[in-house]
Amino acid sequence: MKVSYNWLSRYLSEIPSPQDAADKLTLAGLEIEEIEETGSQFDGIVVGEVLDVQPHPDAGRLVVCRVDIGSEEPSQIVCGAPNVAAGQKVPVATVGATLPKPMPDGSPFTIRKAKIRGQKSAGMICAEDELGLSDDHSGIMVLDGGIATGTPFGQIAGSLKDYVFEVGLTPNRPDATCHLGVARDLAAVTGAALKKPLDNLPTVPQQLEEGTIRITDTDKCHRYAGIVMRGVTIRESPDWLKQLLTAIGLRPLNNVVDITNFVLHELGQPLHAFDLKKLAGGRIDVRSFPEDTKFTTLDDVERTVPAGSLFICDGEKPVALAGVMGGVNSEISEVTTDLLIESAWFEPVGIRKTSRTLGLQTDSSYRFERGVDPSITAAAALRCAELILDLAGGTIEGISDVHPVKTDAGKVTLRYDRLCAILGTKIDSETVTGILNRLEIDTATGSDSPLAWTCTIPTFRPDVTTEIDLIEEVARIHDYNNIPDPERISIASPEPVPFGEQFREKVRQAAVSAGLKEIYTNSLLPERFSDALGGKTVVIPTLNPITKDQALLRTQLLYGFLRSAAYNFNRGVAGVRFFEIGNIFRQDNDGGTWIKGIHEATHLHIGVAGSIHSDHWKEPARTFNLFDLKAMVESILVRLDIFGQTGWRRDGDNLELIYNGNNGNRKAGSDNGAVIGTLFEVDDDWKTRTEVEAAAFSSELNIGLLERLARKSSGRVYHAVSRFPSFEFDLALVVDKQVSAGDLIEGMRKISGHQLANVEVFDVFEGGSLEKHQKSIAFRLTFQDNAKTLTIKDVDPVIQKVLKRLAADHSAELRS
Amino acid sequence: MPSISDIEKVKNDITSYNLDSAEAVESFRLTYLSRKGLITELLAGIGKAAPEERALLGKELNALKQLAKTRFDEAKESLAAGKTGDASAMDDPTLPPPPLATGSTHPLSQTLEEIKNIFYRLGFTIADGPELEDDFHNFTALNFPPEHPARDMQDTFFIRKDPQDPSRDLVLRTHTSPVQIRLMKEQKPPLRAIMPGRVYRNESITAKSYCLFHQVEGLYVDKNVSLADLKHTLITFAGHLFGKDLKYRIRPSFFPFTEPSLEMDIWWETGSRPGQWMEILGAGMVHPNVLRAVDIDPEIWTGFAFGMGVERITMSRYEIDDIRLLYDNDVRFLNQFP
Repeated sequence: MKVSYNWLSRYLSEIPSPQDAADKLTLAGLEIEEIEETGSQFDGIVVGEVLDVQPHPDAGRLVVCRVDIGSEEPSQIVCGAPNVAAGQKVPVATVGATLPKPMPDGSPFTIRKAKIRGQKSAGMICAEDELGLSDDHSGIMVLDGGIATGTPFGQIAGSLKDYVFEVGLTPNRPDATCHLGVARDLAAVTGAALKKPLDNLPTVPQQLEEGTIRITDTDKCHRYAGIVMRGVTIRESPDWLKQLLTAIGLRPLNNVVDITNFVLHELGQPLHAFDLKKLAGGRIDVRSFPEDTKFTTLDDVERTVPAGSLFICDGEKPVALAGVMGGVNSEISEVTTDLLIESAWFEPVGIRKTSRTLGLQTDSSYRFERGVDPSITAAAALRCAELILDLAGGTIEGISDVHPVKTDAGKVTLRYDRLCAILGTKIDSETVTGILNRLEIDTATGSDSPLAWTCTIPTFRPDVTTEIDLIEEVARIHDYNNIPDPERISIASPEPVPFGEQFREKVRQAAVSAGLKEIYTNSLLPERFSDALGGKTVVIPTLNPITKDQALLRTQLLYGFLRSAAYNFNRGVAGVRFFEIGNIFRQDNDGGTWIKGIHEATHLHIGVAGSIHSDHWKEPARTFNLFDLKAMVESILVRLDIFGQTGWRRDGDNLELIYNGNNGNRKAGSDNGAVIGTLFEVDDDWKTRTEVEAAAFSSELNIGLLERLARKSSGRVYHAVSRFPSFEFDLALVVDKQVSAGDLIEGMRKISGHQLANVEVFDVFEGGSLEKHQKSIAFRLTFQDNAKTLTIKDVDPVIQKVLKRLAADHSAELRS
Repeated sequence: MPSISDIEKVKNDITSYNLDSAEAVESFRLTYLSRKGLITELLAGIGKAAPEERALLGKELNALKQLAKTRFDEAKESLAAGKTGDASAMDDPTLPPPPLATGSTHPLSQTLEEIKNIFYRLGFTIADGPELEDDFHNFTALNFPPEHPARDMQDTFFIRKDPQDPSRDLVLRTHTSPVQIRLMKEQKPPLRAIMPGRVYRNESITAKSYCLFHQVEGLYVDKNVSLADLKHTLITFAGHLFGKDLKYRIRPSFFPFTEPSLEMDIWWETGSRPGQWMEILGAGMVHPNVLRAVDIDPEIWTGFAFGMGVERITMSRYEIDDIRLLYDNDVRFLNQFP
């Protein structure tokens, strides 16, 4: 909302400088986001006296003047105006001055010493348009002869300079949607007197005939005041009015429309002027319709207005969309002479619904939906009539103020102790009442001990309904920055940081240790990915996305990784290694995490793509493979101290990370086999969709499930490191190619018991003497015992047992 | 007869012998290792030593011989390798090593971590809630009346509309404040927690706005919590994050769920930009209606709440002028935040 500094000053006995006023308003809760300087100060423009006028020797239409501008020597100025004459007092733009009116191309017009057709000229005698005072260019401006030469022109013309404040108005302040309201806050802070423009309202000869104004829908319209005026002349508004409206970004139209806009921005009461002759029956009915209604608003747009919206009707038809915009069928025109001025109180929610449904927000609807003052209705109409009498002539015929639903001033108790407790400081009680009174909140002492006031809330403050609202009023005018800091910070006994939060941070650090860079990606994905993300039964769409690219909630983090990879590949990066921690969303009709029917879980995604490194003198370039990623995932699991409780399960070419209760630690128990996540090479379909060409590998794990394992493993007990050397045994097995190394290793572990400390695979071989369907895997088994040095005598029986079991389960043979 | 100190001296000579040429290596061999060399001579002298010293001298001299032999072999090998060219080409420590991947956290995580650590020091714990919220937690319980203009302050993504009961609408949370409601419903005061998380606004993606961002919410509910306590906490926080000598101001604002409400601006001057006030957080005293909505008696308990944007703080600290940079994940960008 824009507020003019000059306009504000009309309602204040004193006003601080523009910057100071802006700072004070900001600290009182009306944030001034920007100050824009408009108009001109007429710098360098002074009053001069034309001493003599000589014809220009080489140009018939020009003259050469000598002008006294109050300096020692008169200036010679070449002038082309027809009306210039010796003895005139004129405005002179001296050398260096910049004219208020710029050049036709918009660049500043700065006066310089020049020769015009061979004659020296040092300055310019100005016409009104050049000074930005009007469009008049018929001749130079001639001033009153009594003004001393050398007087700055700004002192005579009054400065046109203004400062326009952009107010970031919060929705709780309907009272501040106008200059008077903003001035009230400023007065409350500075102590200046507030001058309300309601002292000279005209007297009205009579009431309008009964039935001229009728409110059918009294739920939506609590008050309607109409004034009929006759014999007005529609014309251009005077400069002062046009300047004020222009300053806040309004386009002047004609005197009557400009006055309604002026009063709206002065008092916050939206007004409308109808051409009385266009109102059928010369009367008004405020009502709504049970069906949608077609209506053409002032902006010449035909709109389908939803059923239930409030209309102003004449004897036959709607003539205005109440509180939003007038109709084209009752508009003021150049030939209008008789008016009906509307000032009303419309119910906020209804106006907001209509305005939102139509996508039409106006200065009127903005104020009505916040709540205008139901007490100012008639006064605002009279203020409007006063200005019309002044600027458009005519007479007031009568007024009708229909007021079926009255709003009483609210009464709210304010306890002094409560105020001090909430603010954490003692503000003396006179300061409290002083602030409230300056905000026009009346304070009657309700109780002396403990001290409390019964406050009467003016109707322009519908937001003040409870004690806490009054406390805020006092605090904001007192200035929050004046509340002293306590000497110490009081803290309720701190709770520990929850395990889940600590665990997530540990996951982040583990991923960083694995050489991965963290990424943040969008949770909202393009509509066209619906099927790839799991289809309609799984994916959750948003109902009102601004674009189809932000239409679906992610069901997995893969998309974000691939798009980030593609972004980098397109910019010449050879390889990426990323991780992300973020939430995913799925429909879950049987359950739900927080909200019924919605599965929301935090996932860890680890992705690598392209080259692990480029060509290097020690190693040739190599692309990432599945095992690079698997190593990273396992290193993270080790860092999280849950590696031993997990296992990999093969699912075709993919791997699933599962709870594995038999693998070392048995604590996983009943969750055994539950899937924590997956690890796979990204298929061509996903790569094509996300425009990735390089090989890409993805692993996505549910952090909640990892956390459950970690909770079980927390509570560490130190185990003595064996003092005895370990015993290594190499074993090459020939198996069918279908048999997984993972299954063989699991078999070895199951049979060997606690002495088997580690299993490595040091060779995988096919071809040679092997059958085509066979492969050979060479294992190195490390045995260790805490109580003795193991020898082949101890290990051999174990090996034999292992071989027997693997032969039975997987047809594995010892390679000879 | 050799003495231990003689042996020590020879040992030093052997160790420091310059063996950078074939001539030097040959001369070394002749001096120490040949049949007439020094070590042979010393060994021959053992016989003259007292019997009880012989074992020790023998051991020392054998070690000495081994040292000389090792030095001789190494020098020969290194000379031979030098002739082929390969080894000396690689034997250049100024060659760049193979790259070792370094991981890093995202700049937003880095900022968030700093914020968390400051509030941990101020005795706050941490709490969590869903990103997909219902209207009750996101709006109604936070004192946003239905059809109130305050709802326009945030462009909302709707997930489900319930025509019968709008408080059952599902939305993507527009702020982290609903976690306050969850925390106050689950636990009884005193409560002191921050609640970081992702929030959503239905806005098109531009340099200045994204359809999501991250907030940190804070809540303290206890007996006798006042606006002065809130101010003090915020000033302490800002001093820790931005430096103790920062210039700040606190000005009244409006949020439906707090009253009195305020915003904190800090005076921001970096690099080439002229100084300006920059809003860093919104806060206020928890509105009595909010406390009542979660069955906490506002006459007994009072509290404060605050919220700040992680992106805004990150962007101003690093002079990042386009929010999309934070979500493009350009490695040239990420590498700047090791």
